[in-house]
Amino acid sequence: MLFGVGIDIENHHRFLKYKKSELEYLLSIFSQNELNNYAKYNSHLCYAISFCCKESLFKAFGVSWNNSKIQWTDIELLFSDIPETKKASIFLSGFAEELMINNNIIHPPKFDYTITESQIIFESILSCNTK
Amino acid sequence: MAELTDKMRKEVRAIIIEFFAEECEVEQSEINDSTHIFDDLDGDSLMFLELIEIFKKKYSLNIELKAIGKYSVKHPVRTVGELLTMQLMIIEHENNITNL
Repeated sequence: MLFGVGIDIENHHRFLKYKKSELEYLLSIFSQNELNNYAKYNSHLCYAISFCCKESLFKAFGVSWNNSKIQWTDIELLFSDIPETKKASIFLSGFAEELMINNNIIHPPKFDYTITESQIIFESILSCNTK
Repeated sequence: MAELTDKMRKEVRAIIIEFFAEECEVEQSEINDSTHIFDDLDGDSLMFLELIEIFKKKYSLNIELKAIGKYSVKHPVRTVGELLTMQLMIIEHENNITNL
């Protein structure tokens, strides 16, 4: 059974400026695990895709970062190869994990993303186990 | 935490207007307190977060996003005026804004 779907679209060029000098900013929305993971691939796409992932999951849960107990860092996207290969996994913790358990949502959430010349389009789907 | 002065209020307003004018490619004169950030300027959460970071650095603020989140639940921010109020509250109260 479907719990929620979230789609987010961002211009990935916006993340180019954060790559080197804005770690403080990045730290507040990305976890240390994510920052370590993205550093391996040295691509602004990691940050852009991760941001879209978090936004799309907020939407799938039917909330926003500023009206729920879910923290940005409760949703982590980790890549196991360069972002273009789409080999990545979502991990939920904190209140996001709590919501997932309480609503019988299947973990991990399903997701897909598309990288165009200028944009990231990220879609996440939350499904529930039916009794 | 800082005590707000008129100079600071003007400065914060100017930074917000300048920021949105540049990011959203509109004239500064088109932005006022009742301008809707999302509907009129096509602003988004990334801009919102970036602006918070600008003030965090400028005034060396001890503020966490979760504190802003809690404040926003009680005091939703949709317009430039509401954002200005929130930024001034953050400068004045930092993480204690959750108690307001």
